[in-house]
Amino acid sequence: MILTHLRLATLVGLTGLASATARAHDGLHEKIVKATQQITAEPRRADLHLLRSDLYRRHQDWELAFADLKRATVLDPNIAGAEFTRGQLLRDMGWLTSAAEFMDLHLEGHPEDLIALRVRAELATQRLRPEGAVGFYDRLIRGSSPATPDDYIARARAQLAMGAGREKIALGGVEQGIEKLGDAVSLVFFAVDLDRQVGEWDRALGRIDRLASYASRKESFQALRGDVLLQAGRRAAAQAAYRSCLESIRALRARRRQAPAMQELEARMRLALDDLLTKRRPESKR
Amino acid sequence: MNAHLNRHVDLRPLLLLFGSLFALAVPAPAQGPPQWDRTTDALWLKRTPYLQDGTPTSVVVRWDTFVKTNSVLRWGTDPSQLAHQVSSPLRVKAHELEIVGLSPDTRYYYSVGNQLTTFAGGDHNHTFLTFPLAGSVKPTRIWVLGDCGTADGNAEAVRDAYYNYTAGVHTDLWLMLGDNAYLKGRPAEYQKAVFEMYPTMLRKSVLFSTRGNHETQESVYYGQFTFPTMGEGGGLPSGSEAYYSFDYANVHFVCLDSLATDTDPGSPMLTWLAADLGATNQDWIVAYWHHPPYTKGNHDSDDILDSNGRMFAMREDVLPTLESYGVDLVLCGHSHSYERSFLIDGHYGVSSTFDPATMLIDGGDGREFGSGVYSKTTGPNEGAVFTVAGCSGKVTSGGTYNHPVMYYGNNELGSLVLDVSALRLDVSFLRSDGVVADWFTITTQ
Repeated sequence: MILTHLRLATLVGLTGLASATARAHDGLHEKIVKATQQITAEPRRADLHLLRSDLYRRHQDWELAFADLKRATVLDPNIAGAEFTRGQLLRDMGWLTSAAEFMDLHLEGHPEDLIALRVRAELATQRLRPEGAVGFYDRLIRGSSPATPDDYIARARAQLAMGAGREKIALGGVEQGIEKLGDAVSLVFFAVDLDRQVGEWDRALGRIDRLASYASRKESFQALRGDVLLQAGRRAAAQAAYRSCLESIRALRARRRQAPAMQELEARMRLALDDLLTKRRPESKR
Repeated sequence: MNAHLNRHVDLRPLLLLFGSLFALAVPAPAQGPPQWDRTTDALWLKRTPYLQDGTPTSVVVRWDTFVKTNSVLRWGTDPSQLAHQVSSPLRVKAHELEIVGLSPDTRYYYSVGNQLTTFAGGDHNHTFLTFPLAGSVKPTRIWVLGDCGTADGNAEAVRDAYYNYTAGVHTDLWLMLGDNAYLKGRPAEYQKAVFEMYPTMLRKSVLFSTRGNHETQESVYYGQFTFPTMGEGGGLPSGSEAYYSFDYANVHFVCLDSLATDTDPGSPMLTWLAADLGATNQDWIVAYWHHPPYTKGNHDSDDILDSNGRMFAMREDVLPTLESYGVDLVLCGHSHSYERSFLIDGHYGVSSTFDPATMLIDGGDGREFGSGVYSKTTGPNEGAVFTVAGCSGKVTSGGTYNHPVMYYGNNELGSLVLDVSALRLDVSFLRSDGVVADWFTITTQ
């Protein structure tokens, strides 16, 4: 009797666990069950085995994923997507070199597969092959309509990772993104950072002013202006920008002024102004 | 409204052939709707005209035809005198034209067609109201649907409950919180779940959407919508239709992508978000995306494996930025239930880490004639209310609805209604049977 109760409790526990896990994986279990039912009904369909392989991969059941992948390729040696599935599986397992090889095989047959290009670019980045990543991001950006700010920035980061002195090339790529997508904040800020790295202060200030024209509140742009001016050695102008920022913050309605982000900005501005007043340095000639 | 079309043999392609011949034989007048407008509507249009990317001075009108043809969009302030037009000679099935140079907060009428004929419009049913200027105060009604894409009687019941509820009150804009068309967001699924489910609303109120996990076909999803990427609607340019912002009167809306966009600190979306929130001077900030940061419905926001960790990502990576700039209301779907929180702030961990002493700003019901409205005054960290309303097409059992931040939770079909009046924001959960099952108010200064 006790044993029966224990078994029942275990069964209930396992059922509960299975239920919780099923929910946890966002329907993955249900999809695996459905694919298994379909495979039972049509065991020689390679595409179903490939589908279940990918589901097992997402569930991190590597052995089952490989078994289904192998079965799919035995049933249909030319099945489309096998290299891609294998590449993703190897990537998830941490075998980045092998994953890249299979992604390359897939891309030979599907050179415009944007998802595969992004995976391949990320693999190159992970493998510390920034030059390769740049090439794949180039193809991804060319093939997308349109590409995302994330793609342009990822390519620029890969270009910078190729070595010192690549800022202008990276900047060119980011400006290409701005030309395509408009003054996207993330791209403009990235361009400002690159301008600052190469000492193009006025160009950076021009970008900030242009972006600020979209905003009904200016304080964060005034702060950034101050940072650029300070870096350029234009201390008086930086001081004026920081003061403008503080005035803008003071002019905000109480609720916005007291938002944590504004309090943080206000404190940073005060500190920056204190530094400027206490640490006197000669004005830059630029 | 067009659900009857699904139950009969679709004769539209055949009618279209005759309609095309008729259109060629009898050119339409240069202005105004032809007499047989209602007939051609069914003949030509696969997708009824739908409004996108509204601003105080512009709107985008889109429609789909069964065959490729050129595009003509006429508009004016009198439905019988559509004196203006914009056109495109390109022969396409998916038509998209923008009207610019409009006056804010003004009613216009429109028609769509080609160079030979008008397919639909030129009547009181094809109309839009331009957005008011940012910062202006105007009573505003917003309809919010989550996971509505079942294309069945459930979605119809939720829709009809709202249509009855809002009769006589214009819906200024409406939001879809993702999973708008099951099972994969394919064109045919969108056709039934969205374009044939809500044609009345589509042609008179601007729709904005965020992407859910069932919008698996990225190009289909983004291809059929037009969202503000260039700051044209009032926010800062995001350069992406996955995340964007816009203003309506005194409300700043922020759409985020919880599905496929990087949420790491320093990522493009978060860089844009912080800049965008720091640049708005609106009275209200309302943010929306698909995966909820807090839920104990059929999804569990405490489980890192649930939904590939996207609920964790939004909670840990995104909420700190939103709250540091004073977000007021967050709208999500994904769990097929309705849950809504107290007024809370600073809760970024799993539910067991919720500390009422420091994170619960107001533990009441938020109701005027209950424990009182949620009042945001002038201090920092004043909190926000979080809603989960993925119940506009189906409900799914299995939830415990016991997340400690939540005031209310249940698996009931329904949708959300937001009414903004100056410094007061009323939110109602309208069940599919027409009953307002939950409501709360936030006031601000």
